[in-house]
Amino acid sequence: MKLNMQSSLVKRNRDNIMLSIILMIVVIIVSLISERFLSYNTFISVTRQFPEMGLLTLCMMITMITGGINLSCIASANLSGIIMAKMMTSMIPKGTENVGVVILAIIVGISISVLVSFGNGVIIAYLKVPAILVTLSMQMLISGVSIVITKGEIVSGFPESFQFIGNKSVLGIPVPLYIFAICAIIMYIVLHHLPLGQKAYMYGSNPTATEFSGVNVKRMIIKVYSLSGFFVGVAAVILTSRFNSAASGYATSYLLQSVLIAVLGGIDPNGGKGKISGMILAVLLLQIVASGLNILRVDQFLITALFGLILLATVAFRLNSFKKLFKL
Amino acid sequence: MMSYKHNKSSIKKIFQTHEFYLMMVVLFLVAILTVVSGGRFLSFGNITDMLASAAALGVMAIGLLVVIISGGIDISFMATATVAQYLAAMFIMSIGGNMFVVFAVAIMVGIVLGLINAALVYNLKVPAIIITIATMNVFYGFLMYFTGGTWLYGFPEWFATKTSVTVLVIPIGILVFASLLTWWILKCTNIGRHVYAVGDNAEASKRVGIKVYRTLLFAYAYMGVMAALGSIVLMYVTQNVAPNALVGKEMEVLAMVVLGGAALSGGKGTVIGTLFGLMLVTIINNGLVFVGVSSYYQTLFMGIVVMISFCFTGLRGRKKRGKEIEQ
Repeated sequence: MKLNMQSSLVKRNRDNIMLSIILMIVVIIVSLISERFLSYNTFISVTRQFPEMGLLTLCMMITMITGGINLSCIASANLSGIIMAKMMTSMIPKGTENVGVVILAIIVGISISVLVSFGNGVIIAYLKVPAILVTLSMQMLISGVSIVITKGEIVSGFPESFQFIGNKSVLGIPVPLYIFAICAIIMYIVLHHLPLGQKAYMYGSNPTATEFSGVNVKRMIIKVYSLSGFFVGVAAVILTSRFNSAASGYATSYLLQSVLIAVLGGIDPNGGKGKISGMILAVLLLQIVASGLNILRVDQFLITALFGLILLATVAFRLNSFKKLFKL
Repeated sequence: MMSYKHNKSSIKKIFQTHEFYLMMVVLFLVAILTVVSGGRFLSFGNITDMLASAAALGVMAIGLLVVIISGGIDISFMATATVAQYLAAMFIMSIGGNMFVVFAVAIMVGIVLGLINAALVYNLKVPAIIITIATMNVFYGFLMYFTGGTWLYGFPEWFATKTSVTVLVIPIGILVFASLLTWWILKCTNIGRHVYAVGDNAEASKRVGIKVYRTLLFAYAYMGVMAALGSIVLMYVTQNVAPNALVGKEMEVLAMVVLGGAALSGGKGTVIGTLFGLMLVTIINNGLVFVGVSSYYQTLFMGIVVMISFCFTGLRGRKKRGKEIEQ
């Protein structure tokens, strides 16, 4: 019995164990090749990018658990960033501080992302259009709005208090990391201790059964997408603060990366499966691989190609046996 | 009496098709733009301009249509097109050849990359969108790494000579050829019917003896061929190869196909619908500029049209499902 439990524990965490092993191997290899890898600088560079990537993956993850996807996240983050930037640059004279306006801007920015995602959720739930189509056209629409607002230009120049969020550290740990930790805890509570999470997992693994079991599916989907939008809004605050500017075309490469990380972290794109621990490990793995390769001066595009190969390798590995792969 | 009834219902059916709605929207837009622009929109020059610039994307949209009918999706086709274009350009610049060789090299590259996609999609049992996002990164990443992102231009004489006739005939000719070929394959051949069957219900198709794997190999390779054809058309029109010019336009092409009535769940879609989708997207892009709307509004307008069209499709689908349940 005990053995049984143990093996089921191993089985349940196989993905995480695999990811941890790969993570350790990568760290060992890179630090053997380059002495500079195991340093405080690497730690800082990893922890700088880790939170924004993590937040975007959280947004992707919760929609993927229901079997959907949120492709509008980057466009919506950019729109939030632009609105925040416009508010701060127009209401605060250059060189002065006004914490009240900064907080107001942050609240407005996050609510815009929530609103956009809420719109996604309503269309998906009530019109039954596939999530990929809805969020895709929403992405076009939202980046269109951003382009109209900015006329394709970059908005920049924020007060110190706003730049603090993305660039400063408290007790040696960058501020964004704290923010990410809070969001990850919120996500954990929602997924494992609130009915919403249970309904989301249930719907992802069997939509028809969930609908017939009396769950208010429409309301659940709208809530899931709104939560996804909340994470996007928080990511937008961090991104805008770190770049100290906002534009309609920022961070577009993050979209595919967040899908990649979600799948790498064991989230089933068909829905119903996925844990936060796996996702965090996956973000960490990719960030360490990326900064390791950067230290080794590997070409940026080769890294892109490697990310693609890693994704394919992970998916292939999950098939349990390579025999299946070559059984044509 | 019976036949009369039958006739009436089949005419009614035409009025209810997605293609008919699309045609109405296209005609409506053309009418408005013609009136607003004082007839200049329908001038011969503008129509041929639009056709020549849209032809390459149209060819790719037709390839994507086949993949979508088979129940999959391919995000990597722009990367495939870029790789095919680049290798073909390098081939004719270093070894030489003729018009036939350019297309042959590009098409071969397209087929190989398409087959890789199909093998991965079929064997890894993960949604095609995930697989093709990964392969897109792989194809594009390796291309940029090995080429350093340098542009190619200065092609041999026989490729670089453009007359006002060929610059129209080649793009439009290839678009017409691709449309007819695809229409014929989908309507009149076994493999075309298999594509529809697999897209509609892969498990059932397997049980009636359709070779699902072979069908997918065909669909993705066909997408590769069309991507290659489109990329060579673009190379001819622009007379250069820019590795970063195409990647990122996938969504525009996908919008054409979905606007054209193809269902992402597979098993549904027509060449004619896709051509209407192509027209719609081109008219919106070109017409707005023509009427004097600032180009900043282009993406917004596109997004609104695509969103409304998707919602509309969703609503109609729901009605249909409701009727089926009632019956």
